[in-house]
Amino acid sequence: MKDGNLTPKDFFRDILSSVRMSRRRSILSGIMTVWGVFIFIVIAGVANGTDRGNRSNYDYILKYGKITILPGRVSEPRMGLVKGRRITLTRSDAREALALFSNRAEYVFPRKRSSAAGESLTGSAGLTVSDFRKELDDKYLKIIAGRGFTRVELEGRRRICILPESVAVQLFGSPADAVGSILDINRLPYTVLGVYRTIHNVRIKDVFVPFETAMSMPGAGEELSSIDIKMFLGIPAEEKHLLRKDVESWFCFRKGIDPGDTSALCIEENIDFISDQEKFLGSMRKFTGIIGLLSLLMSILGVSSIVHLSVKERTKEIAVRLVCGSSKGSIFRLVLGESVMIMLIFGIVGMLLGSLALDAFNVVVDRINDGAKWVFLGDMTVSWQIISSCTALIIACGLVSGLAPARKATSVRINEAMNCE
Amino acid sequence: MIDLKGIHKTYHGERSLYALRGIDLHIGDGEFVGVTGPSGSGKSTLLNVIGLLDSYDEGEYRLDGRLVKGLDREEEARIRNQNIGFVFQRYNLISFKTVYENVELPLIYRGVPGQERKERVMDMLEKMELSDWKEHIPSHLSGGQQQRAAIARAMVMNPKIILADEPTGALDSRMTQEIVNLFKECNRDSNVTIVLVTHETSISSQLPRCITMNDGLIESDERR
Repeated sequence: MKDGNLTPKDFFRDILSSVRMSRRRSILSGIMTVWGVFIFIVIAGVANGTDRGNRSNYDYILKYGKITILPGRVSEPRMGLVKGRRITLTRSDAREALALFSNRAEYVFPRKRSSAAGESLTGSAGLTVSDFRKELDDKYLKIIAGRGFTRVELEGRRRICILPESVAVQLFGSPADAVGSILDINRLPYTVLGVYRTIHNVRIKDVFVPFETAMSMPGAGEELSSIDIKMFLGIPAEEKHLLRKDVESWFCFRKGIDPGDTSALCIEENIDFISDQEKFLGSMRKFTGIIGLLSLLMSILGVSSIVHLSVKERTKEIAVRLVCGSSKGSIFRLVLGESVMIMLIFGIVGMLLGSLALDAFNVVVDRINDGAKWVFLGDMTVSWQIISSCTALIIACGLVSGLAPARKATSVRINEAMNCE
Repeated sequence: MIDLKGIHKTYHGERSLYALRGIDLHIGDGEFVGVTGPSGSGKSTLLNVIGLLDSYDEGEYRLDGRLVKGLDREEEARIRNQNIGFVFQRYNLISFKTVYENVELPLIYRGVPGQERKERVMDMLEKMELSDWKEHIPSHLSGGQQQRAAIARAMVMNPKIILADEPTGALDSRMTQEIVNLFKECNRDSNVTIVLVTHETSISSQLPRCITMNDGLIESDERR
């Protein structure tokens, strides 16, 4: 070993002695480090959870792809038709679409929304739907009392409806009591067939009536609010894209719209939502990353100022070491080592506490997510890559915290330090 | 051993302070030299220059025949560790280390292996009658015991020179004599060169050579 340096054993022994000697100071820097790292890990975990939760939602969306066609107004004159012409979607459009795309799509849903009896009504009937329960399930709803519509009921224009749980409780006391009761919608009596409950996080309070029934109401007409085309399960992305293109071309041709006129016909794919979500999540990730790094930065500043103070207090000890033959490099490493060791030991405690907190959050979130098809937070456990990156970051922080104090320590003037009190 | 020729040292500040104004001094092997003089006469500055704790502005300083001007800090540290032991008025023991660990420190920096280190520390503590106190921290010891621990730390490297700056300044007369006797013993048994700065005439009168300084100059150099 080179003269003037400590052996590794003595190096660690000296650091531990120094930490033991200044227990209060070390605990103070420790608390700062634990807090900084704890916050960093929790933020990383929550970001992970948000990411995983959303990805699981995307999986669902990607599995159940859907195209929604919404009417608008043309922005340019075309084929002798004026600018600003209103585009309408009708039941016959839905029928034709079903006939054309029946081999490529699972359902075609004509939709009409209207307002009645203070509740928003969604008239809905799949032209090929035989069991409304399937649609309910796919929409994150489940029947908790009674039943869904049958094919005969759907096609027979029966005055029947399915209520949300909140409305059923409000009007009839309980979901069970609501089933079989009569509900007045637009001065017409409807029999309540069933009551549904939304699975967590989904906020739908619509009263469902069969589409054909809704369209037979006075003044309902032929016009639709929108048409949804639901794709087969698990079809490849390219095929989805192709189907969207074909649907778009067909509707543009049928309605005499320029294919580039986005204001005339709005065709949305639920996958579009993913890229919007991704953009939002990307910003959130950056924001949480900055918050996490700021909390670590606060730790660095805290530990650095405390180590700085420690060097000031230990000027005489440093001078004694220099007199006893210590090299300046050895002093530099000792101070730096102390800073790194404080940050590492307490940083590991912070990581453990952060991981324990995330485990506890996971238990709560698992309970909330149980059975839900749409989740805001997924598994928040942080990966080993994050733990090892965090460890490397802590060591780097320790080095940064100790750098200025270590430089100060090596500039101690022995003769002055020896005579100071 | 120690050769100083025309050494000047000035502290620059608002007003320049001429601490050493041309010191010529030769101290041979195994000499025991007392340096005395009034406060501000330059005694401690002279000791710091000899011990490479402070630089000088002009002149020539040879330690054991080697010119020490222009050495880098690491080399100075090596020379201090191998050749010079320091004893200070305020003992300057590391407060959180035991007596054993304080005495062991120069040996660690010298890279002496563990077993040899242990033997040398124990020998020295025995010589200084501190064996029973080896596991104690300095604050548990009396002033005299702390100074003996500081001398043990200075002696453990078998240095060629011991530089003592007012080593008895904080001790009562009985302890003072005990420490002076200890230095005499070290000088006699190990033939170590000792330069002891003191303002107490009761000590300087006991030493074989006494240098009196005044205003940064050597006023007298008496041999007995």
